[in-house]
Amino acid sequence: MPVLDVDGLRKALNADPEFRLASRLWTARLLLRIGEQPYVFEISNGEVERIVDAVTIFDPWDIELAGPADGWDQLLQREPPPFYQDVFPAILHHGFRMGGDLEALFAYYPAVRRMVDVMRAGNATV
Amino acid sequence: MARRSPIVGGYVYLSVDGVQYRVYYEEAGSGIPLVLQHTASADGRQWRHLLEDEDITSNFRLIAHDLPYHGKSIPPESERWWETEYKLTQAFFEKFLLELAAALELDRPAYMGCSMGGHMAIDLAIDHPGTFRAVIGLEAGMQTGRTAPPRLFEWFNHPRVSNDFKPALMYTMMAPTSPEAYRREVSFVYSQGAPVVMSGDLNYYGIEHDVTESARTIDTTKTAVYILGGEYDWSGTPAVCRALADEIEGAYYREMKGLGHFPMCENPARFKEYLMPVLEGILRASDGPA
Repeated sequence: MPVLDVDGLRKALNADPEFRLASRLWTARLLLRIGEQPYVFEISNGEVERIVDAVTIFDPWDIELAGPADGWDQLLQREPPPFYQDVFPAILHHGFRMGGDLEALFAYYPAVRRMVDVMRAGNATV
Repeated sequence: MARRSPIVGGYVYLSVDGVQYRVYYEEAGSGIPLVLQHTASADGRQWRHLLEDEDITSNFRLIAHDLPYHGKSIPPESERWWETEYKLTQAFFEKFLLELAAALELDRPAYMGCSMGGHMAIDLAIDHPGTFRAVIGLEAGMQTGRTAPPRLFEWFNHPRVSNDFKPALMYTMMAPTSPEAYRREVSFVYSQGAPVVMSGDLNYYGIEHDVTESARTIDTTKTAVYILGGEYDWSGTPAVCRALADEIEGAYYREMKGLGHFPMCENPARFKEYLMPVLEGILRASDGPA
């Protein structure tokens, strides 16, 4: 199961030009579930301020993206198999799910899509 | 001297249901006419690689149009279109293609379309047998089904979701191994489509098109049917394309490895490997160049 390098990923996202353009004016708390492990990305005005890996029931979130651990293994490969090339097809075909504020999710889908690219580039896991 | 493209653009006026449309199209090559239909909310630029490929244009006259409301084919002057929700219907789509072929005086053309254009390949073969000598349906299926549910359509034209959502989602439909520059180009073209057009085109792609009961009626001796499906296309999946081909006696089917929903423009070199045998088949059936 991929285990996120929360500080490395935060820095990589904030240093990524495309992510910064796509995340402009975005303030949100994005819950990412990798198997049973939740992470909350705290995003303020387009910058990832913190990625929380010790998430409790008291940590609120706006948007949820979740998938099975082995699914994230596939999704984060450099050349992922069919329908693991992004979260959206993985929702349709591989048991991933989205939830929460879909309006915000779709409004910032370019940023979410890029976030997966950055994770895939080797900046995500320890 | 500067390099010049062999593509020539022009406008043709034609009428559908009494409404006149000013239609932009590009063409290149000579031989069997091949009408090229773009995907939903895009335009004829998706075919630019084929139009500059001499291996193809040496035997085929390629015609890549923009549907009304797409690309350079502006809405009709006579209509108060801004007071009506745009919706592409199957009836209009079919009539438009027949009128285009007539306006350009095409003699038994072949047709190739992708996504909604792929679906249309099948509808043309069913509803107008023999009008087109062959149809090539890229990412075509019997129906779209759950991968493009109508609930999704509203998000393509939501006042609080920008036009950036659409190109971002289209990017996910391509193979990760396709050249990034081309994948970005596909997305860029999508970013230029009017927001209302995507959801309106999906009326045909996701709702009206359904050949579940009629695909088997196609007579491939009148209109040959070729179906190609991209491995990474999460909407018109290879399973969807194969199921359609299995319904049509005499249909040709190949899965395109390493390609997604936009084969002709996301990775034209790879696509060509799958397209050339199809074009050679059309040439053979037509007894050589026209």
